[in-house]
Amino acid sequence: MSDPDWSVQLRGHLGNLHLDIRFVSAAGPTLIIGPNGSGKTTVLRAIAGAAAGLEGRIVLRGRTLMDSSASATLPPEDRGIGYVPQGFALFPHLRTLENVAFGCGRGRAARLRAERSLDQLEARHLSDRRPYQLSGGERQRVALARALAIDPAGLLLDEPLSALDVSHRRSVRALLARHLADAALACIVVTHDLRDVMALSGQVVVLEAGRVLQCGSMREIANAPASEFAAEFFGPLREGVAT
Amino acid sequence: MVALGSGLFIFLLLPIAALFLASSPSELWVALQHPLVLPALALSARTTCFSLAIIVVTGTPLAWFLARTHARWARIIEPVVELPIVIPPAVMGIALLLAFGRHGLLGPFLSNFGPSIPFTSVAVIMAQVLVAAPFYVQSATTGFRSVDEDLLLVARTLGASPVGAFLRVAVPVALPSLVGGAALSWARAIGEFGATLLFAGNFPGRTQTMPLSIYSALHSDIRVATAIAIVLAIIAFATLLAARVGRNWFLYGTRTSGRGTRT
Repeated sequence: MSDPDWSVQLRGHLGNLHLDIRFVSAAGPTLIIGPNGSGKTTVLRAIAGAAAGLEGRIVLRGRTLMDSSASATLPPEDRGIGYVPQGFALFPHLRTLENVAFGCGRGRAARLRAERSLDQLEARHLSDRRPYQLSGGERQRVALARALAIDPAGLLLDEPLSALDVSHRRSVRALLARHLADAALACIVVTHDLRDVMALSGQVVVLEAGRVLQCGSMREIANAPASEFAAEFFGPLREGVAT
Repeated sequence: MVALGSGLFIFLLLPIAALFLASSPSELWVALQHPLVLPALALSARTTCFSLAIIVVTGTPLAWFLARTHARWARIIEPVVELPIVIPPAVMGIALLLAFGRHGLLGPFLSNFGPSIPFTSVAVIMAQVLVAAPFYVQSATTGFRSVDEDLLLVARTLGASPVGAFLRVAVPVALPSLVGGAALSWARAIGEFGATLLFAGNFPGRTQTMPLSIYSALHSDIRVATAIAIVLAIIAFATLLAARVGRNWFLYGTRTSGRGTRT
């Protein structure tokens, strides 16, 4: 039997939020949904390595990234996690190619690796631009190329499509779906858009007020939503099923 | 409203204009040959460079700490760092004497290590660091606060150590604030008068910096005082200009000019 992709347990207080999260997810993208302030971004940041004030255990495919009880917590640079935060966090002082090469080491090999990653996301032509010269969709692709350039074991995407206008969303969503399926990556996507969940088809984790309310496939949750939020989120799908 | 505002503007401008109208270039050149001038200029250049180096090397880590910490007790550090901005320089001079003077708080302890500090070039540097450092720390702290947490976390996930993320991301992103703060701080150091006079005295070649030489020249020859004042004013203008140009340079990169447009 193979290890699950993710096994996450996190507890602690962050401001007014009392976090108590547990979920295990099998292969395929894990999609975290939940209302604002439910702790979605906190969970991603903790997995990436910023878990100040939190206790728990995070295991990625059998490899322990964090274990507060055994004080066996890896620093972010040793986790092999690609992280694309909301807003993408491109380094404003670096050109596209330098952004993507940031994690690839130095010299010619790093440059080649960065160029290959940009090629895969059809963003090579943006190499010499600075972040402020890029559109939302272009930033998204550069940030993704940067995260994938280090050949990560896991990929974390926080609201990957929310900053894009409607016309770009569809193409980037398709691109994401293709890449996440290809790369055989363990990945977690935070989203508030049902169309993302449908396009990426994986296991859904519903967060509310710092707790996991429900966990399962899109169908399972749509058929028996445990909260008003989940019912509303999957509303269009339920109506689609009914008619 | 307009009259009040322009009144203040004219009032700010008038003394500076008067200073530059006070002597012709040839008069200025002659006055600058006076024996007071060159040693004071050299001492000011030497001491302010030392002071700025000390301020940047120690102020940058302090500013980084202040910008990143969430600890409650750290909140009292910031007002303490800013105190020298509001406390009169003469008061800081007395305070320095009481701390490092022969009979001061640390005086007996320091006397074990060598000659006393007051009335030496070291005292000049100490006075400058004390009054000028807050401007750098304040500006650098603001700059570091504007560095998004996500930028640093992403840098770490891409393999950078904490120091690597600081040097490769935080410093370049905050560079305009660091440079602006350093310029302001250096300008404050080169103009330092009160604390220097009280703690370091007014000895030509040893502690007589340019502002102190203006004070000395005023007793003998006002033309010399004016000439030194003009040189200091020009240095101040140049610093302001360099800081502004430098800021834009760092903000927009070297090749892309001024205002970049999104495409």
